[in-house]
Amino acid sequence: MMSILKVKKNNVEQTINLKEEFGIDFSGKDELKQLMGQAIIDKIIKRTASGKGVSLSANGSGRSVKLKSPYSKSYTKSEDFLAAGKSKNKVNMELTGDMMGLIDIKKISGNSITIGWNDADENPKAFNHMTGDTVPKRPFFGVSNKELKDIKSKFKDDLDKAIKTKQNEGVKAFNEMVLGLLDDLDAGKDKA
Amino acid sequence: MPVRIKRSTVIATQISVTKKFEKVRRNKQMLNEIGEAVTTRVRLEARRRKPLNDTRTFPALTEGTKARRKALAKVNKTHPSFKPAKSSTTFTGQLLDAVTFKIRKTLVELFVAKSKRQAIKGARGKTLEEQIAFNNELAKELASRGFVIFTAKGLKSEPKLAKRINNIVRRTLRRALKVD
Repeated sequence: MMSILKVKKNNVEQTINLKEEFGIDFSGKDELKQLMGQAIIDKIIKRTASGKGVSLSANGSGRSVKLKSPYSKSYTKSEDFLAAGKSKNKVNMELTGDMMGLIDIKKISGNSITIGWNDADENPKAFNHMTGDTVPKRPFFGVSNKELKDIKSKFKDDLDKAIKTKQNEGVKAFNEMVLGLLDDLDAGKDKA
Repeated sequence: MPVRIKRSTVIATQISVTKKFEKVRRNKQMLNEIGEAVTTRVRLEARRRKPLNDTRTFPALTEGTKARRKALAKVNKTHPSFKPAKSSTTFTGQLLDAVTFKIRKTLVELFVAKSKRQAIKGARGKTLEEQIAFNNELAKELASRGFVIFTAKGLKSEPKLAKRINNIVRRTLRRALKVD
């Protein structure tokens, strides 16, 4: 299975096997996995901001869907909606911005990365939107095979170089420093 | 066999790393994202009647103030979240819309802009000319009465916002990773 989307009340996440999707062995290349993971997160954020989501099937293929608009009358009259100055026709899954702002790379192992939330509040919120539990269903999270292909082609040259050539010392040292900083910030994340 | 690294190579590597990292620290997109996240949260919390980074809520309104706000709302265009009986710093929305930020090298500085206010008709019986003309001056005046929009403390009482900022930095670091 190339990618697996899990939608559970306390855990909404997608695991992507980069080797199967991109045809490249990513094991031992943490910098590439972090870079691709961020590209996937950026893709989800950009698509959602434009009011579009994706309806994913079990095999990873997906159909672009419009996120249902406008917002419901009761929601548009709520104090939080008015305080945030939101527009009732522009559905972008943001009120405080926390849900979209906290999508993260949860796990990296071998050739796989897992995207989702490391946050007890945002998982149930995402679940609610993904399933339409108490609000209209708006499947904003996850990437399809086609979107992964787009990311692959965007990074094609970089990936080719990274696989074929040896990193120079300056780049290697820089990446090690960045990965070290990411680890430090990861450790502080739960305390925040 | 021991690997020998020339001193000049090590120095060159260090310089190259520092320069590149400095680019990350001064990354405009990152600093702008942080500034946007903080100002948006300040406005939202103030409209929810709570200053950012403070557990206290705004002072309660007297019955007289509530009645005056209700009367003023009839002759002025108010912000959608305005409610006469609820203590907040939003009436027309001008003050909170003037909360903004400036980027100074690697620092994001939050402040209330010195932007001119549109007068409130009928406010405290004053003429339009007698009202506080600039948003930054109004923020100071409100703060002296306990309506502090944001404080200069860290983000200890705003864990979610602190987590967001942490994530903005981490996303920027990931995007800065080099492949060649």
